[in-house]
Amino acid sequence: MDRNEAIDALVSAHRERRISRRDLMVRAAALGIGASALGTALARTAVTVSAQDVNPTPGGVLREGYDLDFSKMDPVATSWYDPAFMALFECLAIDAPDGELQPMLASNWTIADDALSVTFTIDTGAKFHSGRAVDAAAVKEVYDAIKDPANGSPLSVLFTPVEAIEAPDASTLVLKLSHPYYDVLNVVKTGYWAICNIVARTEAGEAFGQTTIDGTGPFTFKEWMPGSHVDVEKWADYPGSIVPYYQNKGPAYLDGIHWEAILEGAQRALKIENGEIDTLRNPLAQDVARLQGNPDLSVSSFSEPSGYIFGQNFNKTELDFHEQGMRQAISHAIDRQAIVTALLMDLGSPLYGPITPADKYYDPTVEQFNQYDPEKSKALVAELGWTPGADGILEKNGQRMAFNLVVQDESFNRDLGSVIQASLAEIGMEVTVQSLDRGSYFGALGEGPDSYLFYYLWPVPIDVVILFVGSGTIPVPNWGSASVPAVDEAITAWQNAGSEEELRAAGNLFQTSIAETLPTIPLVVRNTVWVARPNVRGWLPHQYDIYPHYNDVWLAQ
Amino acid sequence: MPDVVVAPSSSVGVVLRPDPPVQHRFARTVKRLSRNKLALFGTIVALIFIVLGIIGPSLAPYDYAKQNLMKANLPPFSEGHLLGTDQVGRDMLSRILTGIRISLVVGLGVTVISMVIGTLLGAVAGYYRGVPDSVISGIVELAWGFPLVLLAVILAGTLGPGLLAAVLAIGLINWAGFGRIVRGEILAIRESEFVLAARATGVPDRRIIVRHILPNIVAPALVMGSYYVALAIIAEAGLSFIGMGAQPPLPSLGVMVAEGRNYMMLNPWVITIPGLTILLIVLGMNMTGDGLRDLLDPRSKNR
Repeated sequence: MDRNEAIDALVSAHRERRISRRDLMVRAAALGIGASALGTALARTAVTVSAQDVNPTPGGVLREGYDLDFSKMDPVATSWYDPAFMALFECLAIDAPDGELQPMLASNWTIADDALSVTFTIDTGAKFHSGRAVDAAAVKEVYDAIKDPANGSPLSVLFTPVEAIEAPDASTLVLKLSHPYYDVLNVVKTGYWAICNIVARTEAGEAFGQTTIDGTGPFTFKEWMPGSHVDVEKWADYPGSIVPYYQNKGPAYLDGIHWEAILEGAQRALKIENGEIDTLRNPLAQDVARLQGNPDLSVSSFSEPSGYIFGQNFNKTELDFHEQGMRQAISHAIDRQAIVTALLMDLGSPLYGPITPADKYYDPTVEQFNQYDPEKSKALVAELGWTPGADGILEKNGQRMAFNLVVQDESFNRDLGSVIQASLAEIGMEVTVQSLDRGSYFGALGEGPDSYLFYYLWPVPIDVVILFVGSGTIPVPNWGSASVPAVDEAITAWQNAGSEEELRAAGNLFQTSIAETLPTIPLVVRNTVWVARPNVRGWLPHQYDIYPHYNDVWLAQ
Repeated sequence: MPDVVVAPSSSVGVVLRPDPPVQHRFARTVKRLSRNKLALFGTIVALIFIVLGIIGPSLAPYDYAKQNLMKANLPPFSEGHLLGTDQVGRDMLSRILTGIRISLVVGLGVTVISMVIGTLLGAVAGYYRGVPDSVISGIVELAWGFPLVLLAVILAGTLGPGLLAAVLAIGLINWAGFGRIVRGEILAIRESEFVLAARATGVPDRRIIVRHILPNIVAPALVMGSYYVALAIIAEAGLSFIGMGAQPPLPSLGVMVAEGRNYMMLNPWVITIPGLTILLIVLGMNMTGDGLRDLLDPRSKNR
């Protein structure tokens, strides 16, 4: 028996309750196995315990810790979706753990030969919680609502090429496109494009997404307490799911799910260690090694489709933010690898372009840009006519290089803001960090701050980055009023791609144009980390979807 | 130097007792203080921190805001970093020395301003009573009952979060504490014979307050002042902890505790060093206050 087999045998014995946690540790130590190796083995074997391992036990409430506050759960008007979307709503298609696009509410889809239409078949027998059948007309209502300017949906720009939505019969939905738009499947598969009952939404008005929700997911809405929690309960009449990768095709096993917003970073790890929650998203990076060493916990970590970006307000012409050279100077002053090492404990990657290196459209060409080079930064600002003043702060025509940086009041955002502040101080820029709660933060973004730090999370990162950098989305969510013709051309190419090859080529163009012209400055991407206690089964976070689904989840006794 | 001490109401002409030489009084005070070991310890601790607050930042080996991410989270006694480094590689010693100055400036500054305003208004309320007393006492009650954090939020919203907003918030509440005590003391003293005598001989009110009454409340004000310095330091640290006080990278001790709390399991010194510093400063100030009370309170002189 080699060392790995010995570890696996020990972990299996512990999982099957044949040896205690203490025995596991003692025996592992006797074999010369450190806590870290043991933690890795536990993570490897446990976090994705399949529902088919043993007979699922129905009942119980899953308590999940969440690292953010919750947003309004209205798919039409959401600017952010949280894990509860995965329990309350469903989409036309879904990404499986292997990255394959699988059917969900649409049993199949076809792209026309001329690539100017996509036809979905909506015949799964799904229903809304209210009992209304999910047919093509119901889906059309959702997409029409997103496109309707009166609803102010931030998603609408991604449907710009969709010139008509038709439902010729109950099971056929056709998206008519003004030009080939291969990415449309990427758009509709994300949790943002969840299907809700528009009739119920219209009746509920502002209350929809807050106190009343009518989706198609296996759970019904119970309560949302902003800043605290969201509760859902099992929908006993759930008609079932056709998603191939789900083990459970019928109603959920759980009686309910309770998500708790744990905004105080250090509390997250403590709560799952103490058994106050069953699962957790994103403990602090500095707590991950400790959690991995805890044999009672399973930890999985993978690069998430997200990124931290640093935006400057192009309207601040007195600070030369509209000048590419100034943005490049700022970018070269930031040591991304050091941020990943020190703040993310290597659970992340530097971003030299707009999207994570783990994304399938990632173009490594971007790595030739934005490398840490403070001397180049100083040369670039000097070229623009900025010289150090008496206090060391850069000046030009009597204007000091001093500006505010708006960040969300969360531990990593604050630390990242502090690093940017210190990094730019090295080249003579005075940055005042404004740390604001979530509501005030988005309010400040809407007012066009001097600069801002933003964390995006979207299953297809290019689709969301488009919103922050394209001139078509000024002033929201292009809060910096960034306008770069080369980037706009790349966006057009992305939205006109008619095949996978064209989409990839457009994606490469998009990434390199952003890496070079910097409508926003990419910083780092962090790994998402998921932690579970051993009684949680069938819970499967994976890198192709930003939250786990809950159809298969059950709690072992 | 007079041979006798004449009570403040000199017109009464009551001979009390011989006035000991100043040197003798100082020696006696030190002697009494040295007998109170806790007070002596507290005074020494407080003095050490005051000295550190004055000269410490000039001794700091690094710029308190200078980061070196590749040297983040070094433990104490690391090479070149006596107290280690924080999560972004800033030298803890340099930040602590600057933090001590900030705490002391806030503590002493707020207390002096509160003492002046509180004493002035408390004296007017206590001496004149009637309408001035009602008005001032109403304001005092309002200020004293106002939640510090709420006031800090209002001021931070108006002025922007920062030390100025925190100092104003603490000062706007703390002066009321002085006002209440001073008013109470003056209510008692204003009926004293020497005050009645001064008033009977036509001494103006202002002169009676300044020359005859206020000197009699210096002792309790000093005792209270030492406690209020400690209170102000804790309040500033608390407000900075929740983001309503000093703003990064300014290393208020409260900011350091706030920034370090997410690292306390990995690098406990990042939070314990500023926490212990706050504890020692406050302990020193409170022990000094206890010692002063024992020294200056007439009821304890005969113990």
